[in-house]
Amino acid sequence: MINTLPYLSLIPAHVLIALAILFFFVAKAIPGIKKIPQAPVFYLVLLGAFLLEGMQDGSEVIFFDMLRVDSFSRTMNQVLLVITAATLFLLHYSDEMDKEYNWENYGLLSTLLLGMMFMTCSIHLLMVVIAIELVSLPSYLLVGMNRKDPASKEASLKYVLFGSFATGIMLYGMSLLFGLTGSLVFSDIWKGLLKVELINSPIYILALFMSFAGIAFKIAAVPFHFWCPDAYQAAPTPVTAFLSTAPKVAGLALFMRLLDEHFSIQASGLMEMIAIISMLTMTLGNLAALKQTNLKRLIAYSSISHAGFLLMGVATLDEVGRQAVYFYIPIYILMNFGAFTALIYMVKDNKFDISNFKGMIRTQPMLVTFFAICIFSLVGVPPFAGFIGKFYLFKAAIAKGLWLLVVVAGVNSVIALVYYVGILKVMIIDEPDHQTLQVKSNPILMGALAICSVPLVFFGLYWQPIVVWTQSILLFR
Amino acid sequence: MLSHILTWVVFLPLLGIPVLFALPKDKAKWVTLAATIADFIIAIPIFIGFNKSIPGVSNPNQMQFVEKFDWIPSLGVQYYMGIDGLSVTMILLTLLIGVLATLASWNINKFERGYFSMFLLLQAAMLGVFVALDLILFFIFWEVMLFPMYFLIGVWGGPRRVYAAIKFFLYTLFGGVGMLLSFIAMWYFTPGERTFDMIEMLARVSAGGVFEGPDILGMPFAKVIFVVLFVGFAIKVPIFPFHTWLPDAHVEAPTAISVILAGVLLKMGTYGFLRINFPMFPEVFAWFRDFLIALAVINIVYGALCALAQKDLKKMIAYSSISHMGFILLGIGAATTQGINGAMLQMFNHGTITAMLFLLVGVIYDRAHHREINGFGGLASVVPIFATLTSFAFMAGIGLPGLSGFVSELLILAGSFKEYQVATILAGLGIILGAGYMLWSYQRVFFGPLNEKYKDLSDVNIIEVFSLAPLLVIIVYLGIFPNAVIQYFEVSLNHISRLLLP
Repeated sequence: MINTLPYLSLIPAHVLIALAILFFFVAKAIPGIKKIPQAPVFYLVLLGAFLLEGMQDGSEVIFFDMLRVDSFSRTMNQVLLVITAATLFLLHYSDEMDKEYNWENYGLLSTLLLGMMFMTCSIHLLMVVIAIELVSLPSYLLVGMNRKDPASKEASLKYVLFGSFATGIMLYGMSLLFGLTGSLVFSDIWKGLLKVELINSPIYILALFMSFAGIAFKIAAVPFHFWCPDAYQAAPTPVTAFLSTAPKVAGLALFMRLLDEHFSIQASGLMEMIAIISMLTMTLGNLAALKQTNLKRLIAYSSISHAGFLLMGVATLDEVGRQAVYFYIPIYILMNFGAFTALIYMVKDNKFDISNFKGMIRTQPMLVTFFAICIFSLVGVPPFAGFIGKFYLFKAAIAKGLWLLVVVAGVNSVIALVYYVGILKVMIIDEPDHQTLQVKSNPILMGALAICSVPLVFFGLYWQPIVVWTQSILLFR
Repeated sequence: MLSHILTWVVFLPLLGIPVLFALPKDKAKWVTLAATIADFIIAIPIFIGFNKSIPGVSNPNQMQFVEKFDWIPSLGVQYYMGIDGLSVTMILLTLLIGVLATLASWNINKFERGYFSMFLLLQAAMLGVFVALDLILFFIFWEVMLFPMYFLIGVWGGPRRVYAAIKFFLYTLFGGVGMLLSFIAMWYFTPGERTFDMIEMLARVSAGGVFEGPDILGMPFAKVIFVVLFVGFAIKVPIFPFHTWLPDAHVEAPTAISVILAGVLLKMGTYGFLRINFPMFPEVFAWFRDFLIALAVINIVYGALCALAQKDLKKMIAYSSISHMGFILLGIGAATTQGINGAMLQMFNHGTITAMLFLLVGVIYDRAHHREINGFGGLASVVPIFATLTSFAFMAGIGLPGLSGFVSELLILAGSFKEYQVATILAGLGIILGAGYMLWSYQRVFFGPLNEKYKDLSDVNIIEVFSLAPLLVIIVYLGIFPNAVIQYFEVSLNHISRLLLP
């Protein structure tokens, strides 16, 4: 057995492994331990891991060329830790999960987080498979945990089936890559492809596309998005908030790291492929969202279309595009968590139908105002931060001359307006009726909502802090 | 304070919003009135101190009351405000319409605080558009207008308000996204060092610089960017075939919002043409010019014909507005000094005349609760003051000599006749049609046998007089002394004319 402790740079991951062991096994073995309040322990561990990530610097390759820890992976991990903490907070206020099983729930969440932390630093395809599976398995279970919605079991099973399908395709693609190049390490793959002069040949495109399946599955990109609406709708709302942000961040991080070695090659075929995936993702997500009457499902589709926008930054295959993606990530998290926090605030007993929100502003003006800020930010109109995020993505794509992608994305941001503003129309313009939900006020949740939406206005007007943050994220340093 | 006067003028309306929420809701209109009047007053030093003899436009050191700070240094975005003859006129119009529209909102009795906070936000954004000299700052102000406008139409509008509001929002956002993409492309391919500073860009273009980018989807770069920008601004004007949102928005919007729409919002499109779209691409403008003139004539004649067919008074004025905006386009397209100065004067005059027309329709709608032209009759004997005021506004709309509309239309036609004879004659036809629909509807509403239903109609009240009288004075005064306004923008517009017609 290898002693992994000397790898100091992986301490945060070790801490999380310890946490998962605590939640899963120690809790079962020692009866008295369940008296410990679980949530504070979890928060403390997350805070500790966050600080540990922040304390280190430099870049090193560990575990026999399997993992690379650098400023990029550390920053992404910090983002993931923050998302997890926010999810934990929301879980406390949701009525959809059994609180008595919190030990198991938290255990699943911590393993999921661990998997994502490996996704951000993998540089070896084998590690990629392990990390993605480590993320997938707890996700399947968490989706099925909703006691208010019987459909969650069905969604969970669909998710499992689709996930195994995607993994199968990914493994097949990876075996092709291995056959072509004789290596599973990212950098060697690109060198190998260059050597055998296969760039832009059909087998190259096929092998890469299939290898991307696992990542596309995680970020819910077309054509691996089918699980997404069902799972998002049926999962407990905090889990939906989590799944619509964290795996996307981790998946994008992995994707950017995988493609980074490729920048020197700049194959047009690869760029086109990602651009096409991006266009299809945003268009399908938007068109499907137009028809939705369930608010949670609508936001699920809208998050598919946002994945398409994020891929726009990946498609440029350069530093400008990556910076744009980094820039969009915190804004995307704020908007999504804001919207889901508002949903948890408003909805009881799984009543997510849009007609339940009629005239909400009469009784809850503050709540609807904050929610409207998140929605306008998702649309991407100034002065809200979502606009600036899209601005950088457009800028990256224009700089690269991906005009078709730019046009499609532009048209999509107009289409998106229809359904987003449709929600606001119901809440603000329509008259309330007997169906309208009665909301109990909750100052703490309102505070959380303010923490999400006020920065959206602030960053929309002064986004320099995020620019500074994105410039500090560097691969291999 | 004088050093940051533009910032004060733009953001003063926003200061009203927290005050308005702190006070009881029936005080909201007073707060708004105070804010808009105070805004007008603190802007007076601008109009007094403005140096009318320097053109600005493409000369960075000739902009006046400049405020320039780094905003996002990594991107080169600046907080850059300043004015020249082009903007100072529009600021005057916006401030004026702001006060009058507040008075026109006096009868709002649903969610007052929401209404007036959105109103003030809209006012600040409109002022911002006219003073911003950085493309990103300009774009942010431009788009910030959208969501207050959506709610103002959507919540406080007429029966089909939801449809009209989303239609407005979609059209404008569509144009806006195209504009944003064009701005980014212009930034990326700026002649010389990259910048979002539109005056600097214009200075380089007038010194011979060209936006040289790669072909976009097989078409030349400059032409694509020009056309996309044109569509963005044309939607706002609106130019046929992007005009269909306007009648809907006008009919459904509350009176005050119609006034703002017609008075200020539409001018943003033509302001954008003059400030950004045309001077930045003079060569493409030369290529596009014939098409532009054709669109202008279509706007004039088509708008007038549609107005002739309307049964709803407000819809008729909305279409007449489309027709009159066509004249502005004709003047800009001709680009001769007379034509372009006439266009600018028409921007101001149309703002005041159409605002007055909408206010008058609002007056009658408040009393009769409908706007059917054929549903009235003989009102002149019941409401004589109202009938007189309306006759002035209608005559000004037709372009009767002695009233302001005449001067600007004359200038435009004189200016365009040198370049485009046939188009000018067709535009003249539009004036005749204009006389037709205006007089015909006036006759049906005010003359003929009295409709018994309205024999107890009350005449205009004091608040309505306060909102109408200033416009009436301006319309008459500018009909006799048009130079009072022309002197502000003449030098700048002559300069633009030289940029467009080298």
